[in-house]
Amino acid sequence: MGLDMMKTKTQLTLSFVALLLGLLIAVQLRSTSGVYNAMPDLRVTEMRAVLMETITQNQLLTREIEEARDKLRQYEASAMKGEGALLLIQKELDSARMLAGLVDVQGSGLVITLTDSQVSSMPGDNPNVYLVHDEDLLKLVNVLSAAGAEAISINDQRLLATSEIHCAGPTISINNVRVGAPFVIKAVGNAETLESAVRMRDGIVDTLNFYGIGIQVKRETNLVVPAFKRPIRFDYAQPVTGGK
Amino acid sequence: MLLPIIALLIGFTLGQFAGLRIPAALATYMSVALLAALDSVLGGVRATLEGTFDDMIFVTGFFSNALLAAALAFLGDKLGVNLYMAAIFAFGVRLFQNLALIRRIIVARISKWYRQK
Repeated sequence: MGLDMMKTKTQLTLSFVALLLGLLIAVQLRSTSGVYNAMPDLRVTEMRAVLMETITQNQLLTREIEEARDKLRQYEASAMKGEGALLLIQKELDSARMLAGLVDVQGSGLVITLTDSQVSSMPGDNPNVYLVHDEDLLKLVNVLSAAGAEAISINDQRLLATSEIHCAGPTISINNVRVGAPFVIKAVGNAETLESAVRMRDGIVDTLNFYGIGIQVKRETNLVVPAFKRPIRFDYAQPVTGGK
Repeated sequence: MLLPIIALLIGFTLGQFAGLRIPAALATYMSVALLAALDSVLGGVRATLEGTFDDMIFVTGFFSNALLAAALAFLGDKLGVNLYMAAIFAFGVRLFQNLALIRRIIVARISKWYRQK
């Protein structure tokens, strides 16, 4: 009888442990299988995003074709009449100027102020990491452009396709003008999109904050980005005429 | 021997439907603890077959092995040493040793039974 009692107790302990083991195995299986399941879902989302992007692009291009046809019709009509063509050309010139950054533009957007780190450097630390570098500005400008900024200036230097952001000793050279900290970057665009782009987790704001560089991001409903003030010259580049 | 197996199945289904999920960061520790627990259970089976099974030793071994393995793996992560690999190695080797011993005992019993027949 005593042996039987012992056996029952052993059985019960064994059962209890087995129950726990089964539970552990099931939970672990569920946890690890979840990790593997996440992969195809991600792929699907990615493909979906690509598809959506392509569809929007397609719509945009279709609209562009419509516009081009409209313009052609207008040209033809005004050519018949022999007048009004000047007005059209004027209008086109205006938009080309805006595109080239030759006029001040205004609109909603973001003002970002970068200041050198206020953290006092420890002996042995590389003091370089506490300063705002040309790379930081380049990255920031790149992020803003990617988020659809239509006009960007740094310390009132309008950024064009030919603008450089280059290290120049203690300052940074932009449009061949040397500017120093604090850097005020103005970007016209959808303020919300721009802000979320720079504030993305592990994004540019997080990275710069890590090094103690002061960065203030402010939304503006109406900010002015100045025009490119220096003459634009093309010494080497010539437009290709004839053919196509 | 039937009751523990039923309990194992019940535990498994409970775990399946309870909706519990370990965060990915803790999955490593969980796997080490699971390996330790599995080793303890196999050790228990071996002890039963050898006739040296003891409730107290078995239960304490099950919990302390699992918890200590997870704790050591955690400590290893904090120290930057992959201690969980050591745990996997140690428990893995023991697991296979236990399996081999269980097989030997069973084979010995079967051959003995044959000879008696």
